[in-house]
Amino acid sequence: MNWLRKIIDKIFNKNKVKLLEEPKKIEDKPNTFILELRQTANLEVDDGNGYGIIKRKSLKEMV
Amino acid sequence: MENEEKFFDEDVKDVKFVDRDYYYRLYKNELQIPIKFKNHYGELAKKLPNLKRIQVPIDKDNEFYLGLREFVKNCNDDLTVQQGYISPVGVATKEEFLKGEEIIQKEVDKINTNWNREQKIAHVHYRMGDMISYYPDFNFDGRYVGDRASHDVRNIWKSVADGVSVCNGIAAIELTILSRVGVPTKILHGSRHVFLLHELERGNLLTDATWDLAQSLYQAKPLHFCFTYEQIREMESKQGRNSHELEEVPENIIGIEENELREICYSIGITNEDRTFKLPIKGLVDEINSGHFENKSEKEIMFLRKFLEHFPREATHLSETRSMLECCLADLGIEGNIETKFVYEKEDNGHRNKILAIHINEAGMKDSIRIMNLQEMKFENIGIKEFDKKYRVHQRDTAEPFWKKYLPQQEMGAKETELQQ
Repeated sequence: MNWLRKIIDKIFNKNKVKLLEEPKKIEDKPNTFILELRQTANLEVDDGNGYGIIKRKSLKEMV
Repeated sequence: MENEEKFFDEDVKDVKFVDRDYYYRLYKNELQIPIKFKNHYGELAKKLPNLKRIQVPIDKDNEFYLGLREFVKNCNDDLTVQQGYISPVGVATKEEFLKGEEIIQKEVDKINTNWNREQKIAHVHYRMGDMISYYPDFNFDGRYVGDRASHDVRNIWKSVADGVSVCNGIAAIELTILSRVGVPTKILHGSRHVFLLHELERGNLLTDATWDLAQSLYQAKPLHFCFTYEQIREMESKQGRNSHELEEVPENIIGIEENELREICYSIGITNEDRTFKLPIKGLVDEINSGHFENKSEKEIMFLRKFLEHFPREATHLSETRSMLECCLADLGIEGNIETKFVYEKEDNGHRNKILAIHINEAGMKDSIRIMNLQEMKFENIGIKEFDKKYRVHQRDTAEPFWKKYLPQQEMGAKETELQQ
């Protein structure tokens, strides 16, 4: 299934969408596959709600 | 339905009632049953024994919510309260509503009626860190933003009752409090984030209490208060973010300079007399920095132990504590890369118990991970191999867990899936 994986990588940004399992063939339907994709994310930094973590700000700047 | 209409006053506008039996009929027929609260709240509730849900706005005055609370108290226990009625969001149970309303009312009562709008805005902004901890959507097993679990977490009463929410809920809570004390406020919707606009006579102010939750919880200077749109966009663009990007930029936005910010905060009692912010955790960091330790690891362990002793309540606000601990560790002279992550025990399939893990990539510290055990209020040190056996990231967080790169090479090879590059 490497050829399919390469196509998926080209279509999607491979850092953002991950193929979870090997594509499954459907026995009675030739050239048909089931894919399960999941969007990857460091969810606590980019969970879709725009939450911002203060990164390494000096405490002096917060007084 | 017709029999119930006679119980309602004529010029009702504010609350749309729905009943489970009638909800779909109402929706399809586009009927609204208005109600104006008067003194017969209890009697009215008794006449609607089948009432299952009410939809209420969040931007009314205090008198409205005082009446609403009395009404809900007398309704049946199955009643649910949905927020908003043009685009309703999230549902709270009757118990959550009443608990949430009690908390909100206490916050309203803390606001000095003689304060000007800037003071009221600053006060409410600064209260949010105490009231709410940020709780990412995926921890509610919401499969996507828009499903039931994601909606309910945004309900202001549920959020306040539970003490957790996301940006939509936090902004809505602020809006309801400020509306009740006469400060006109609107919610602004970026592509992935919401924040607030407040109307003054001299112009409009922008605030983001969600991004200042750590600041307000730990009594630090707010970093996202009364910025101009250009300021916030410049700041976040440097971080590669566009959370505050708006399709339509509001007009007449004014910023507040630092001196004025400090004066406002001093006038409402949240700074010292010299206008510096209290930030008690800095005192702890300074104390640790002035001590003598054999090595940095010992220093770090002492700080983490004392942190839990002095800030046990704040420690339970995990998202905010994570941010602040990263800053503190940096100030303690930890130069190596600090990585923090929320993890779960592998048996915790429901993601019930979120645990904060800290790793410091520095000599003497990099082979272990510290986890914050809130049940026993202590930090535990675990070797990375043992940690990897016991803990994992959230199932929907498919980014590579940071500690994998510190595992011995043969362990990494065994654990790689055929899908990794």
